[in-house]
Amino acid sequence: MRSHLATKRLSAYIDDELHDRELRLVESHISECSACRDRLHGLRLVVGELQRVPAAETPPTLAASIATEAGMRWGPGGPPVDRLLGRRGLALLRDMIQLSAITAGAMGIIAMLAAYGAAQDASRTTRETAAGEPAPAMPALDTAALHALAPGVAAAGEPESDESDRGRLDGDDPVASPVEVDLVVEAPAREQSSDVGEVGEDAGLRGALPGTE
Amino acid sequence: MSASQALAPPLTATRDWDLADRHRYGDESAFRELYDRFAPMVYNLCLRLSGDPSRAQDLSQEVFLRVFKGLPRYRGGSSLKTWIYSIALNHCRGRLGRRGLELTDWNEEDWSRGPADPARGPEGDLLARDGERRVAAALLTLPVRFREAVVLRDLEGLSYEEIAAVLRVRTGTVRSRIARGRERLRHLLESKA
Repeated sequence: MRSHLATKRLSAYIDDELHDRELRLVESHISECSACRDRLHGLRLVVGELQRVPAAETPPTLAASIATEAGMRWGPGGPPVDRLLGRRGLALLRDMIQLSAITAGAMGIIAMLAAYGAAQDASRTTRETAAGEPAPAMPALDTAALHALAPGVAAAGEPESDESDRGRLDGDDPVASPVEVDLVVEAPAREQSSDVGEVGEDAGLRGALPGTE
Repeated sequence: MSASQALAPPLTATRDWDLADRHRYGDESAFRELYDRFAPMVYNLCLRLSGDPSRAQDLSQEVFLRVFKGLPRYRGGSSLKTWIYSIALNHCRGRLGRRGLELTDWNEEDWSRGPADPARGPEGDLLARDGERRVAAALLTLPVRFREAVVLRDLEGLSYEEIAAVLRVRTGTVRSRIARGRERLRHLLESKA
């Protein structure tokens, strides 16, 4: 009695899912066996009918109901902003907003530093006026008075030298006159503030840029 | 396969990951894109498993909400298509139960909602639709495990490997289930002819 092919082989043959050896076996068998050929034909008809069944249309209200449940703004046709700008436009807008936020932050820091400097100037002028002395310009420093208060500074004779810096730090000595200490300490303090402002800005930008990508 | 599916660009692993990543970072257009791509597939699967358009809509909504919540955890281990099919299938099984899946009230009018084919003409279209309804009704009488496999293969067009990933069974099991499902359909349709 002649054996017949298993249905799963015939079915996989239709789907082209047989290995070479099985494929040769099936093709050889159906060329000789009319019963298996008929079964294969019947299965092909079924597959053909199944594949002709049209896909049902997605209900038009489905997108909106999902968006509502998920708490999203889009309904049919996508979010309004997306429709207006497209994906590239949306990405550009997002980058611009982030850049604006960074710029605003940097400007804020600069403004704070400027305000701090102005307040320091005003405070110094007030104290000088109260002491009855004119506000001297930096080159007009009284080196003799400095020498009396901080000998290291006058001995060096170079206000920008390391010794000078030490002298300035020494100016924090509570014995020193408040007016002159302010004068000496003020200039580097401002430079330092300015540097901090720039470094802070750069650091802010460096920290923010990866997040924008 | 519908025309929109045929026109859609193939989803590579990179694109799947990109879509999930954009969703993870709050880009709502990513989920919209995902919906547009997979809604027909999810809805049709729900319809073919539940047999009820209204129920299929509810099921589809629930499936997409699960996808919405789960997408941030998607790591690209399988394709997004397979991943979403798994969610849809498991959700339908859970919501409908074995009895709900097998004992379905079937309204033939609801099955064929596709556009009429002008090339067939009115009479040909009527006959074709009648045949489609007959097949669809017969499909619903199949045991769930065969129906799932046949629907995924012959109506959704998944490969054996994809079906194995969705059903979490071996490829040999997929082959067997598809074959048995088709064989039963063949008997059913021949007996009605």
